[in-house]
Amino acid sequence: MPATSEEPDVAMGMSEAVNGTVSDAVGEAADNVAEAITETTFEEFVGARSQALLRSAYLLTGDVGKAEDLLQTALAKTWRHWERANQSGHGEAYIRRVLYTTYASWWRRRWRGEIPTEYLPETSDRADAYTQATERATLMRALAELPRGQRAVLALRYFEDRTEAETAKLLSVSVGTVKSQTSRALARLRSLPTLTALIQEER
Amino acid sequence: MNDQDFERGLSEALRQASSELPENTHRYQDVRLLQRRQAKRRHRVVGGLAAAAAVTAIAIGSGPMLQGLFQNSLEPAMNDASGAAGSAPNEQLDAESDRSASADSAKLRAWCPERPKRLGDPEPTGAGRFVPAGAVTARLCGPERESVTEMSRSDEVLERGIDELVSALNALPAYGKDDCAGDGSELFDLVLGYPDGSRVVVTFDSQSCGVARAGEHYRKGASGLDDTSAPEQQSAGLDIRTTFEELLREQKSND
Repeated sequence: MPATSEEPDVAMGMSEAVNGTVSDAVGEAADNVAEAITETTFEEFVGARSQALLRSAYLLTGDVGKAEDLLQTALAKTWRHWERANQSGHGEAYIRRVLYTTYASWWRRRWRGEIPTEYLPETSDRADAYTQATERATLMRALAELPRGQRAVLALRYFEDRTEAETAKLLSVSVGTVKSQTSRALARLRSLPTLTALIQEER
Repeated sequence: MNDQDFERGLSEALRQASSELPENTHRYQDVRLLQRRQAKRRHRVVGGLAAAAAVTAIAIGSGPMLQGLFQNSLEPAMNDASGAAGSAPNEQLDAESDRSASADSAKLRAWCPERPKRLGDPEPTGAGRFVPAGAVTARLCGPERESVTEMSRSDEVLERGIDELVSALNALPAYGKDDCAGDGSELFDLVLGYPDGSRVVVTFDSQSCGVARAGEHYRKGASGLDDTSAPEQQSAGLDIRTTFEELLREQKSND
């Protein structure tokens, strides 16, 4: 997948390049004003929609902690631009795009060589919970074998039900790339007997 | 199974796999904290760049005049310090920026787990290194918000004194097979955040047996050691909760 911009659509603005301490005061005041204007709606958005966004982040990262990191970073990046991004009612689409592009860039920079978390998974005696956990682990292992581009395409196409064109726009790639990535990802998943069996059982 | 069936099945599996993720009720506050830090850093960097540009402009504009006037008296000193004077501000700015970025990343990682997991049956796993060095943030997470003191309830993240805290954790005495094993009712998580974004969770019992667990490693003395402990071990105990709160208080008083 080609490199993508981490903060799409809304430019950071060159007006920041003002002088010294005056710039600090002016910049911080501007941020405070922007915050006051957008705080309520942004807070409402986070309260109402962030859990749904977390699900996408989880499918991308395969880890709850990483997903929370990714989501919070995407939300923090969006905060300053929220009013403008949300003007035409496309605030969520904007955040989703930041989420996916941040995922692409973080994967290159940050998550290699991570100290494994020492947090122990919760155990449960219930058979159904055990089965669910096993099924989830099977799926997440299968997704983990895919390159990040293919994984992002699958999450958008089959979890978020995006069309090929929407997926291409969100990831800043061509529709042809979406088609080929999807095809390769599906072929790879179909070659995994455990996953195929799992999906067959569920149907 | 044909392609369409497989794709439908995959959609269902993806939805199920992501359907029961833990709720983070503090997400908005966490994001707000992160955004403010980023804004401060941005202003600092912009201010630094503007100051550097101003110094450069002055130097270029007044250079020829000043050169003649001060050349004799200033030349030796400028030559001596040229390396440091030329590079230090930028290096300092970069280092500050890097540290701040690392702290942001680690702060994100320092979010509280839903609630501390039970300690289970502690096992003797030896003494020595208990948690990795290099943590840059710590957060104390309580089992029930009401039972945590006012200070640690405020969701504040400790960013100073972490090295000392980590050293004290690594000095906790080994858990012995005959040592007290009760879980107690006051389980806490101390979440350490590292610059690469990873975290380590130390679960400890702050009231009864003072057992602490990080991954599969156990230690004792996490509530401080009482008089019944061997004399050589009494100084090694660490009341994690009290120590964290003291460090946090100190951090707040210095801010």
